[in-house]
Amino acid sequence: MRGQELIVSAMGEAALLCETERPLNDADQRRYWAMARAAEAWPGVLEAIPGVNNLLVVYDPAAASAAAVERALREAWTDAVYQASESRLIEVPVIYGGELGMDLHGLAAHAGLSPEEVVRIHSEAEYTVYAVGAVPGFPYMAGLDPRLAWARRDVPRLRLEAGSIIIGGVQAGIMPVTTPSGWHSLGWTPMPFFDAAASPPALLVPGDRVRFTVEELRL
Amino acid sequence: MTDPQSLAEIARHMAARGIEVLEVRSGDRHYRLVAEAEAAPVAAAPPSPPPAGHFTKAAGIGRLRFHHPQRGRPETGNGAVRKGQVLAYLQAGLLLQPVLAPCDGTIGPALAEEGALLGHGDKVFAIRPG
Amino acid sequence: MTGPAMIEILAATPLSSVQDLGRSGVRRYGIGVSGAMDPMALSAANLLLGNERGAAGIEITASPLRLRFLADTAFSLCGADGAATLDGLPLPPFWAMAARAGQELSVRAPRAGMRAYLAVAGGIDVPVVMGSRSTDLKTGFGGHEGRGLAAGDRLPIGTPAAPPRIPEGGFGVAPPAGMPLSEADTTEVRVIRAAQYGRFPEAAHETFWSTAWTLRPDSNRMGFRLAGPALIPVERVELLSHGILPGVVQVPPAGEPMIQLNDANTCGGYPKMGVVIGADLWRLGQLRLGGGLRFAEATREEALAARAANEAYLAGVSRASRLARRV
Repeated sequence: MRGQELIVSAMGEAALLCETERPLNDADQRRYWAMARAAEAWPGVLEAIPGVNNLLVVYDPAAASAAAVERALREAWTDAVYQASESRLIEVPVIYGGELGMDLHGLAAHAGLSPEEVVRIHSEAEYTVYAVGAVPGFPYMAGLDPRLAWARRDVPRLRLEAGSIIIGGVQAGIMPVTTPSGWHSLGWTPMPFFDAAASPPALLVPGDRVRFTVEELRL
Repeated sequence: MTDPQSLAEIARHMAARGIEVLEVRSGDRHYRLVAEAEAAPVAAAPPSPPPAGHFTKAAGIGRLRFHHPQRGRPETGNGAVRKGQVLAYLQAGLLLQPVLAPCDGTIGPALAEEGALLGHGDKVFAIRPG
Repeated sequence: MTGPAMIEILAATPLSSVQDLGRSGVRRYGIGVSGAMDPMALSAANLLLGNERGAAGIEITASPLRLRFLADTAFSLCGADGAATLDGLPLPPFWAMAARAGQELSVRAPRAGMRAYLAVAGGIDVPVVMGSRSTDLKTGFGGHEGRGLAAGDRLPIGTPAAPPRIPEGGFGVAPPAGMPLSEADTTEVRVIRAAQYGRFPEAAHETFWSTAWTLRPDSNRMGFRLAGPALIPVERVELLSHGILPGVVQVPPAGEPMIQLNDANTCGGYPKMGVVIGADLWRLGQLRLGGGLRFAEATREEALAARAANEAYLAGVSRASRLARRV
């Protein structure tokens, strides 16, 4: 059978989750994006939601059988080709440090770097939006320099402001709405990433590339 | 229309359309057919005699229920009732139709049993106004 | 020229909000489904009035609500029994009734069950945001100003296709089987095994299926936290973030399961023990804080049969409603 390395599991009677046991990688992420696009056109499929190196497909069990959707997913995994030209580059101006970047000094100490070096390393990298989710418009981004990786807080903060530029483990993110979070905040951007009245409501989509520019450094 | 063949035909149509109660007026005759889960539809008795005094009367057709299926106690708590208050229910399939108090007052004993099949005008309670 | 018909909230807690059957197709933007926690009750309430089953209503959560109708209309109340009164006249649960302008409806906190749903003929006509009138309480959009209800709020009512003819005294339907009848009732929901079920030892499986779990008081529309014995996997499970759905039963490292629900984040990464079948989610919507919960294993086929049974109930409600309204 084709697509054998793909692990497909039921998430209830109306959804299938696709993943593999391979380490996190870019090439697989591109396949999931392409599969998501393909799957949305299949009869009975309601939603295809890319995650971080995985894909959740929600279907109407009255219109499609789990077996048929799974077969189609395995074929798509084998055949999927992601069109790289679809990706956009978005520049995000950041005020590093200060009240809303309260973890900049902590990260510098954790990484054995100066705050200036942390800002330089963070703003020189190019990030790729792997998936959007958790909260409205939130991008899970790959591309963080391993020197800046920092495990999430043991106790989440009850309130992280919308626009916070954040790090959680090896992932980078931008918090589009004010919400509790266990990620660390290095700075803040005035750029809006979620607007319920806009179409689409989220600024970033999977596949987008992101660069941070230093608008201001507050030490 | 009261021959068994016609009734069976009507019952078949009711079942096919999910109709639980059918009422027919023909001249001075009044018929009602009630579909029951485990039983064939039955032709019910002619209308009740005209009422005297204050009674709550069935305004629909169904099995008498003194309490709501979601409530553990009967609706008629301490005996005092208010005009328009639901005192009991007539159940036909999922449908619950109210047996209403016609006036403010005190409720008397029930005139029909739990589960009795009642129709329009059948007395359910006597009410002492006041 | 007059404005739309309205209802005015006289008293409410922020736990009560405008909800329909939820937002779909926007999870890819990180937007959750929201929607009624007991979709069976909201659907039944709408069908009693001849509304579309997904019209917006008010979810009244374990707290009192009082409102005044500012126009003649018809309304219905389904779900938990809030011992409602209309101008002081008691109303049964799962009941439809006509209201005149100026009449006051009062709903109390229920003694059994958790949520009651108020529907009005024509539906609550707040703006549609991303395909739904549901309030997204977490992010603060949709519904009425993106928030729970408060005294002084005025909610517009849509114009029904045909004003329902409600007989004197109203009418109702029997509630679906499984509606909690007393505070002491234990809720049972059916669960399909999920991806990490096999990562837990047999003893944890046994514990999962046999325990009478208790709903922790910090549970809400985002998720239910359950108190009971810890479920520990054979080895620590590290997962990448992936899409999740209402009903997913996750087991965080501390070992006590939690169920993600309507207002949950759209992605998560905790190990998944199982998923509550779609047909039983409404039962969770009626589970009280501190209430008892048991899981029973189900197959996909059983889940589909349960869906069909729920549909059959709602079809029965619709038939009963048409019979009572003589349409």
